[in-house]
Amino acid sequence: MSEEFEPKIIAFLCNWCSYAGADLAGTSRMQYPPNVRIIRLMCSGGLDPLYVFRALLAGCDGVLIGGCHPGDCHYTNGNYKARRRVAVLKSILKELGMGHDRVWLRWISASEGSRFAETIREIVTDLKEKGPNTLAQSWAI
Amino acid sequence: MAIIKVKDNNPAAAIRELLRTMLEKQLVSAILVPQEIPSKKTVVQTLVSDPDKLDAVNPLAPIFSINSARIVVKMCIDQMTGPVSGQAVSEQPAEEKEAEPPEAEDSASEQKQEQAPEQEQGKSGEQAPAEAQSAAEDEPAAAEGQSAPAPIAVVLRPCEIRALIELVKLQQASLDPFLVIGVDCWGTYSVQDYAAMVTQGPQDSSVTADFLKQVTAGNFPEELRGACRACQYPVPTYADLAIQLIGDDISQQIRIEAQSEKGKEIFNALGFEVTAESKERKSAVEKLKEAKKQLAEQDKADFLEMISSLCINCHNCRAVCPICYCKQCVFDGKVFEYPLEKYLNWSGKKGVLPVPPDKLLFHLTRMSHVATSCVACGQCEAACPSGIPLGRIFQRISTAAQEALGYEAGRSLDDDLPLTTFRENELSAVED
Repeated sequence: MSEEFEPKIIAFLCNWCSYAGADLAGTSRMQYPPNVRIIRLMCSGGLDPLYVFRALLAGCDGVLIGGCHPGDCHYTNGNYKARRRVAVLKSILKELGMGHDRVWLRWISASEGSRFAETIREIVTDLKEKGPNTLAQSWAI
Repeated sequence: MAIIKVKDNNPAAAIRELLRTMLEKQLVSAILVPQEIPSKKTVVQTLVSDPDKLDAVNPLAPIFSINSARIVVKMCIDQMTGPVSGQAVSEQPAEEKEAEPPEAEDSASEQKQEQAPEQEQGKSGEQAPAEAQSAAEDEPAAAEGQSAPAPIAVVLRPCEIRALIELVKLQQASLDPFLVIGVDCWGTYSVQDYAAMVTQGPQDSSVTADFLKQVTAGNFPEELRGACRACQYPVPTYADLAIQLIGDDISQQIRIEAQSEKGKEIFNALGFEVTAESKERKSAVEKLKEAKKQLAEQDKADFLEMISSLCINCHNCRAVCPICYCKQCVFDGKVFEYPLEKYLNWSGKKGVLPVPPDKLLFHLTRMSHVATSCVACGQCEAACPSGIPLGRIFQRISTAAQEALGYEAGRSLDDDLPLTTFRENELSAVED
């Protein structure tokens, strides 16, 4: 089983909560699969959907968008706006059959290192079941 | 609500005469309205200020060459300058005043403010006992002439009005200088199909008359544009004045309804005899919507493959889209100019790279930008040289996105743009 499929995940994490949560997971030496590549944003509300599309088209198997819990946003309400954008993004992906179930929106606070590690474990298990992102394999798309 | 008699079985002529009256009485300073070109092969939007130059007006011609909301945006560019703020729409009158010639600025605006209340009093106080009609006819025109110029009437289809409302909310247009006249719409042909019908049809027949005869009988021609086949918005609901055809025998009469305060003023000044709404209208509109639901193409074509294989990256869809309003598109920037090395890198990774790259990404990004405000007018599809059914694609994704956020593009100026607002408890299905 040395050829087992290892999904690639891009995580867009907000600076104030989720990125700090991921940091805590690391400094606490929690174990989680090394399948995730983290990109730090100032706020989940600042994520341009363009980058999620780009990630999926370029062959990444899953995308995680991490923000502060509702009510805890450093910029008051960026995460609520992120949620609306993700709703639009997912409905587009769903209508086009592009894998809306490969995009996750999670609220992870700075103290939730274990929740971050658990989230990544969960996503990796899920993506291993789903298999590779086919968008990346076909040259015609 | 009032009835307008139709002569010679020609409702377009009745609308033409109505517009002529509005211009002659100076209730409007000009009219943006489609007119047939002399060869009749197409119609073009015209801005008419001379009542004698309305002879070829035909807002009922089943052709849709441009979403005129775009024209309205261009026409009010100078109204939109100045600091952008959340209240740009309501601040507009103040900004207009400031745009007076600088030397007379202070006194002029003061005078205006003093004048305005006097005129109001004059209208309500002196007029009431006087001869109602003729006085009411002259008064608004005279009053408008001094303080604000008479509005510019813009004759629009329902989807154009809806696009315009979205653009006002996106702070790209102002309704202040305009009087929006909406006209019921059964659908349209493509520019090409319309021209072909004019050339091939018998000399003495009119494409418009044939079309109206068919659709009022409930028959929808094969050539109807894809977006129109699925349209669920056949009647204007947020105009100043609405010209209603559905539900009446349009060979005999059409109706006009004031849908706003601004519309009421003009309506009163035209001295109509007020009547009730057509009894059949409601059911006729519902029946039409139902028929359109059946007409809508249900195919589950592979849109992804269509876009990625057929698109030639010409960006025409962006150029004609009323909602795509950015002055500088992200796809025209340096971000999407790549060094040769990058092309080779991508090609090396997959073994084969379709070029030009970013075709699908362009459409996906456009979708995420316009989905919440898309009015499904289908101009993107008409503009596509490769025949990608973009209208159908955008209709589907925008319906899904607007349903997800509980929003209806073009419904009202009062609904907040869905991406600028939020509720604390919503969309729990998105967080997973």
